[in-house]
Amino acid sequence: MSQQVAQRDENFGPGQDKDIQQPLTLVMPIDFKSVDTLTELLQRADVKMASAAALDHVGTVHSTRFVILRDDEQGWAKIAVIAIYDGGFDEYIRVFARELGPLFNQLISFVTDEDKPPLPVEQHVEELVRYVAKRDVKPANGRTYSAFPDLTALDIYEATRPRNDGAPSPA
Amino acid sequence: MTDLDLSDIQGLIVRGYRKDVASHLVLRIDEPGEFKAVLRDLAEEDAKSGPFVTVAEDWKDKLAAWWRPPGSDGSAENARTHPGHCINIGFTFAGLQALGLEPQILDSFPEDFRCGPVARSHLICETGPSAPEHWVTSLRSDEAHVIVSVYADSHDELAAVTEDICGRARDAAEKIEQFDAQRLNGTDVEHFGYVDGLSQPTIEGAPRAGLKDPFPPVPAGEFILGQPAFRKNRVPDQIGVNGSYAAFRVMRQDVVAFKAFLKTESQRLGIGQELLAAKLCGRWRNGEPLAMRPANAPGATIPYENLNTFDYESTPEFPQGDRDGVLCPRGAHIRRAFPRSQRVVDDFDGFKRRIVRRGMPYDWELPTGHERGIVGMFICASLENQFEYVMRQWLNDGLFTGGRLGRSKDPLTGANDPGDSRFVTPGTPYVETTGFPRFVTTRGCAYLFLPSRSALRHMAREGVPLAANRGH
Repeated sequence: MSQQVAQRDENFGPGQDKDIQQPLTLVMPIDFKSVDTLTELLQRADVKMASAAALDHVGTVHSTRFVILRDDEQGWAKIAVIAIYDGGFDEYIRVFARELGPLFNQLISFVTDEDKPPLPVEQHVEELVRYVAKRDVKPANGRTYSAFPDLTALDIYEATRPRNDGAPSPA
Repeated sequence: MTDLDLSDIQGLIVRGYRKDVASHLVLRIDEPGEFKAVLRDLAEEDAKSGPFVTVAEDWKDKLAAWWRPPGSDGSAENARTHPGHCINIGFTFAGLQALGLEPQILDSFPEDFRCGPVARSHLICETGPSAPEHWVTSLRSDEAHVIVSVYADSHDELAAVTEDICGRARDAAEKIEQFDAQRLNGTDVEHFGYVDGLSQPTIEGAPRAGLKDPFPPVPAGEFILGQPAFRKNRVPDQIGVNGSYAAFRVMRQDVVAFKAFLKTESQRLGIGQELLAAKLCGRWRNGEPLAMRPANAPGATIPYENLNTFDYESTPEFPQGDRDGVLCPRGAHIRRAFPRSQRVVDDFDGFKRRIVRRGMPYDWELPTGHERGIVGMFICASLENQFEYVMRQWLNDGLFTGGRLGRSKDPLTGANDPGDSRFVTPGTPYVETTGFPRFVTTRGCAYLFLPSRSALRHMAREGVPLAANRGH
């Protein structure tokens, strides 16, 4: 048993197992005075629904969330886009530019980086890929734990979804 | 209903010709002015002007006026029902440049076509022995400008037509390569022994050209520029409408390695060679799909017309389905190339990246040895979203769908490496095989624009009115 745990620690986790699952921690500086406006945008029901629909369509995202980091005393703020996804980085960002272009365009309009990609991102996909790669913060120890590192989002989706072909459905 | 002008669209896009032999002539344009004269004749369906490009409309009323090569009296039995030969033409981007098209037209072509397969080889997994540096010289240079494809009923007719075309182009272009192909014993079987070309999309608005298709027709714009499509495709200025693109490919099949693999692996697994061959492909070698004829069922019972009437997901038409791949493995060739209603990434089903395939076996004696393979066209309206995507995501990776395929590749055509190749199928018998090599190696590829007849006229002599650019 201890051997198994040791093996998992060493060899398993997103980014380690045949490159199936990958972590993204995109951290971008934003205009401190716009934090409330950006928060309102992210909390809008239509934005949340459109994002969820696009992510369902993409099918490679295990989980994702937006986190706003702020220091009121220092007067700075950043937005983090944190995700676990399947496959290659470039492909993932290209798909995002296509599927979530309008949301990314709004997000990036709040970003204060001088080298941020031009808008709309749908027409500047490779610039977006390069920018996100630059702002993707890697895990400090090079690892991200996953309970199911060798499964894709669609593997899990299929295994847990009700069936209509006569085979037993998952409980 | 989509309204297609079949008299303007090259015939190869909407139907296969079912000819026995073919030659693909790779030309380098040396004198664009002279070559325009050649194009002008090819664009006119007038036997007095010489051979002409075959368009998609029905040919039954045209046979009497079909151009025939010198010495041919057209009395062959089949000349009563179909022409003895068909001709199509495609241009590389370098070819359009060599022809001297206006910059405005050239700049309006999409990046995938403009860059070509050599620059984008990494996006179609042409690596290792399939990398461009190993391709035939003509297809890794900028000198491949035009590919004229001639399909014929006989070697004599093929030779006569190709000779005539080369003669007419003599002062305008140099033939730098010729790829010959031939059906094997008049069948649709390719060198690995499978019946090939069974699954072709039904194009909305075009006559059904293949087997019975249980699925809705594919929007014509997936294959014909300017028509409605799943995704918005850029239509090149002035000459785009009713055109299409093709990835012209020469693919060597390692028949010896494939047969040896079937023999040794079937012995190791304790299953028949034919069953292993069927699991790898998803069809038995006679074309019957595993989804319709399981491992223990008798063979040759499914009518030919019905060989495509199956699905993998449970649907009202096919309630049983085969989501787990018990019948047809999730990683099998045909299930990767066309996942049908199966859930895939970037789409909710596998219907939106169809490709028309027109291929024929070749068998060449070369100074380097005996070589067998398939040469042909993969036709679509977006090389990036259809051909390249399927090559990269579906055939050479396993993350596009469920079924725990991991990073595995198509066992038949994928860029497999014995170091990590793996193919698994659930069910009975359970099959797990690893360490197999690639069985198909790319010998060359060219991205072609297949212009409409009116576009050919325009390219030959500017000023001829074109079909309205609807720009979907």
